[in-house]
Amino acid sequence: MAKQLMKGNEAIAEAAIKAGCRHFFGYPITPQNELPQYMSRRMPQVDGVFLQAESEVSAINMVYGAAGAGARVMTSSSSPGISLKQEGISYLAGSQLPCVIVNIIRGGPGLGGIQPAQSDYFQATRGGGHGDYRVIVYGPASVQEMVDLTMEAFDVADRYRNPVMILGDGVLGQMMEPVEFHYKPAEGLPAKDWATTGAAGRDPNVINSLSLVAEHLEEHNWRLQDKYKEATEKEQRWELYNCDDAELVLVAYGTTSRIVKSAVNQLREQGIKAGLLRPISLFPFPEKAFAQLPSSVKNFLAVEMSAGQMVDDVRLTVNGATPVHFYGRTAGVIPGPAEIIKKAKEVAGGEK
Amino acid sequence: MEEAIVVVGDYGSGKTEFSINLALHLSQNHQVILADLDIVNPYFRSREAVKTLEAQGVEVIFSREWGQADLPALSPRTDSALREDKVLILDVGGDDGSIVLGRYRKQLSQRQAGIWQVVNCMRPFTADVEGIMDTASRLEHKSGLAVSALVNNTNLGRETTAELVLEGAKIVDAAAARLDVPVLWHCARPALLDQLDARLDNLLPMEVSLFPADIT
Repeated sequence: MAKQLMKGNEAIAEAAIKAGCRHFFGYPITPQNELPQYMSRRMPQVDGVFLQAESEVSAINMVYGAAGAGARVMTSSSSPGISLKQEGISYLAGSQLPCVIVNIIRGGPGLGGIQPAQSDYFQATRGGGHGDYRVIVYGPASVQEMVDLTMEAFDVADRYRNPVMILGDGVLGQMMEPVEFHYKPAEGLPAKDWATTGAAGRDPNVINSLSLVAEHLEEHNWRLQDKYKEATEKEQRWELYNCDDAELVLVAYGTTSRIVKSAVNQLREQGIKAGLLRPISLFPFPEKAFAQLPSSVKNFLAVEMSAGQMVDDVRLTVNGATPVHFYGRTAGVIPGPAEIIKKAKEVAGGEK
Repeated sequence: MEEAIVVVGDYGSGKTEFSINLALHLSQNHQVILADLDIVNPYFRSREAVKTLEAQGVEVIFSREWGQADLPALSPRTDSALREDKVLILDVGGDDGSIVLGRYRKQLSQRQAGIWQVVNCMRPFTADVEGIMDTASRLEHKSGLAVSALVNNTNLGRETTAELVLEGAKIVDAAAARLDVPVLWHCARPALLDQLDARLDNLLPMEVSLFPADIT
């Protein structure tokens, strides 16, 4: 299939359809509206279901229902809407139901603004709702990567029987880049023999997150933790750029990583040995990438469109072995290469 | 009286980039006003090119006070601009966004107005003649105005080639023949103009891009 020019929001929607998603439940909010809009136009063409729910709480519980019945299902929203969905996400994780959730982040807190941000990193990577659970989170940096990771997200959700989140921001959702779609279903995915598909000829399946005996619930929790451990071992994803001889490694994901890449190129032209470590999976955080870095690295600089959230994972990973610095703009302001370069020079100069 | 140009099209067809570049092009010989009527999408609107446009003497109309709000705010200046003898370009929001034109239908009917549909054949719903015609009828249904011309804006962003623009030109020409309207412009980045000059008439140089320059 030839390339098309698509917005990130549309590309996620088409990728979901290509990956076999035929159920979408959502509620509008800027800056992700093109996603449900596209779904409303495409789902009828592929005999799928598009439903605009009366609220985000309704939408996520419709996702629970469709996932419980064994369907590939998606919902999307932006920051305040994702907060409303947290109760449902906790229930999905507790009931071990696969689904794909898209958060195209806008500035917060509260109703915030409508410009791009990365300030929902904590919410996404720490679980977000109540209880001991995690959501597998991907942070794409281009429209093509939004396509590829969305398709993969459905497979990963089915493999781990767990919600998977695509974490984007307003720029990625809105900007247009050439994309192509190549979906090859993953092999060896487990059969959905737990789904409530009608109990004729077998014992009924029950989907529930309630467990009133503490010891039973603890046992269930350890099973969930085992899944997160397996995901941490197998699902880490990252990109290293110009890191082979780097003395300063900038760490950034999503839109910010594209701007940081511009900054790294300019720093290199000015003789500063800078590189970029770009986490692609945000949970699990790509700790393995740090182990691959050369011993020449003297400083890390995390750059985010937040007041400093992913930088905590960088600090936990580096564990005091190397200084970790931070530069961020928040609330919808996008950092430019010049200010990142200025901070990078401060950090690199501080070593002398 | 100068023409009012109403720029419509599907989401992401390039209406805004076309409107900005057309305004810059026409400002060489005309007094031009560009009104941003995009009430749907708060990102990548023509108001973002205000400085470039104003430097060329183009007046840009948008709701300055509520420009970043998620509100369907229109400036009253558009109403008076519709009565002035200047080239007036109305940059309308995609698809459903053309509903806004109902608000100006009466005034538009009282002056010469072209309804130009911008088409990018590399976009999902306008890849062929049928898709372009279907979009035209959706736009006409929502705006209450008939499409009077097509604009070929076929591109793949940074990966656009001259061949791609020419392939798009063929499809858009065929759709225009079916709709019985002319193709007024073929849009191309300045770097491609040399290759296209001998092969397409009415080339519009797309000098200004809204793709964020800081992104590698």
